Amino acid sequence: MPLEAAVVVLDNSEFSRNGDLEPSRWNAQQEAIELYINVVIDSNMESGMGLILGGGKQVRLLMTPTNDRDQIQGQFHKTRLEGNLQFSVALQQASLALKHRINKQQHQRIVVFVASPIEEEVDTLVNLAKRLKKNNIAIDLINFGEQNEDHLKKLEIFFENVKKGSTSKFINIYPGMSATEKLFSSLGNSSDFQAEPGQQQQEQVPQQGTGVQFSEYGGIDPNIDPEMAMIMKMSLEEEAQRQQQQLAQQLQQPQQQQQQQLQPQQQQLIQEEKVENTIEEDNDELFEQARLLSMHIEQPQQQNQPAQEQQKQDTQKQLFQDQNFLEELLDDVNKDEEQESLLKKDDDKSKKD
Amino acid sequence: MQQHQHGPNCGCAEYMFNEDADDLYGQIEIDKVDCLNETAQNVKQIIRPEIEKTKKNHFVQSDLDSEIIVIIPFNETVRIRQINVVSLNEESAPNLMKAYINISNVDFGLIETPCVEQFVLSPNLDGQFGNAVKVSKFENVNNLILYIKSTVNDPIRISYIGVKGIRTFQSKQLANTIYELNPLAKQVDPDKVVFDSVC
Repeated sequence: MPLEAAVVVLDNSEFSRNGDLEPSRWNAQQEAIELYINVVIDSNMESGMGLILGGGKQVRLLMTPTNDRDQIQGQFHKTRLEGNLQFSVALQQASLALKHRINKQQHQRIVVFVASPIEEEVDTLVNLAKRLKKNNIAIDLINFGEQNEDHLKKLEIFFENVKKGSTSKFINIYPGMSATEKLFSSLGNSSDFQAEPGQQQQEQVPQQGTGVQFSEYGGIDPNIDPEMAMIMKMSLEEEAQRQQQQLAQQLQQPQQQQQQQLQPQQQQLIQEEKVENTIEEDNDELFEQARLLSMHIEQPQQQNQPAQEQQKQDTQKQLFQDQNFLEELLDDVNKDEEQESLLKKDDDKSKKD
Repeated sequence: MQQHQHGPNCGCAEYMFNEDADDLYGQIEIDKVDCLNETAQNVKQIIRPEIEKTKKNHFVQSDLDSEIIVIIPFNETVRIRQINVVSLNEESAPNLMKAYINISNVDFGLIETPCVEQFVLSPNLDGQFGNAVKVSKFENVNNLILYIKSTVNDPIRISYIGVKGIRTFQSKQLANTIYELNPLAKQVDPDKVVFDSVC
């Protein structure tokens, strides 16, 4: 448990009123702070946490790094949502607050909550990032809700230039998903932050936001949990082999040539499928498969069409079986009602075909 | 003109005290070597044995401006005699170095504090010119911090850093202690006890 001084930059701009993260982005930030308080202060008695309001006319330092959690939680009553987020000014103030921390032994960390588009240009951001990296400040960049492409790109460039080693994190929270769950899984998987023993540690496949990491190990970081990673890898490989055999058996003899062409692609597709859990991706994959199928037809189409459709159905079923398999394997608790209803919709669709 | 060859009697500051100085490469904890403001994380590759000091295939480049801080921890206490910095080429050579010792949690705020010793660096492309240090100030070193910068070149590129000195074969370790709640006192002879009165 590292000795840290973490300064949290809150986004109290008008954009935080947005309700795409329920009940609002501002509330999501508050919950996230609770999480960070647990992680930082409870893990080490001497760690400190500070607060900065990044929005409004002036960037305000609410709290210098302190280990008194009541004081931090009390600050929320004083805050109002106003103005726009001043990203670089807030970060500079945060680094200044860290520079003047009382206990120089604490490692420096800035946690930035971004809930509004960033006004600064990329060059300014890169410069700022390099300055922070130069002073050995770890950055946790958490994006609440804003999914504009340019905005995400700016954040990624900033993060690329500021990260040093593995202590910095970039977490993207999509509208609709639970911020605390997402944060908890990301923070829980990192070796820097460890969850309290009392809290439940959810072993989730990291969601889309952080990118598909360690996909061949089913999303488990082999450095942290080598046994689990090996088990996942073996299971995924077995599943791939099983599906390969199934495909081979189902198609008839004259179509074997065609099938051999399809298998490596399907195998590849299936393997990718196993890691990605979202339904939208499933549909794209099916379109991709259909497209490939239509491209590889050299023999008369009439014979092959019913077989292909059957193949499509079968692969669809297998894909859904895959998901179930994965969920079973991981004891996944993450069953959103939305996802379930979407799942049911797609099931009905395929049955109609 | 004949190149000056250092010898025991040449009187050059760089060579004095260096006859018994050994290359301290073996005492450097290479895994814990760190560098602030470098573009790529390759400072460990420029810490090499003295024989390889002229190799130019690895170098550390400064990122934002023309200064870097290199942190070199040792696995035992050493006495430093000479610090050798080789730059990649003349256009990216540093001209100033400040040395600090035994400081943890280093960042660029350190520069504002007074250094243990300050050096003027020359390009030193072949590694012949090592900087001799004031011996008395570098007696018990566990941790060497070098602030290297250039006032004219931007960025700077360093291809080798070497340290020469004398080992003490003593290392900082946790003391093995036993804490006693009730210390067992020896039997004391009351006639031999002397009482001091404190007024």
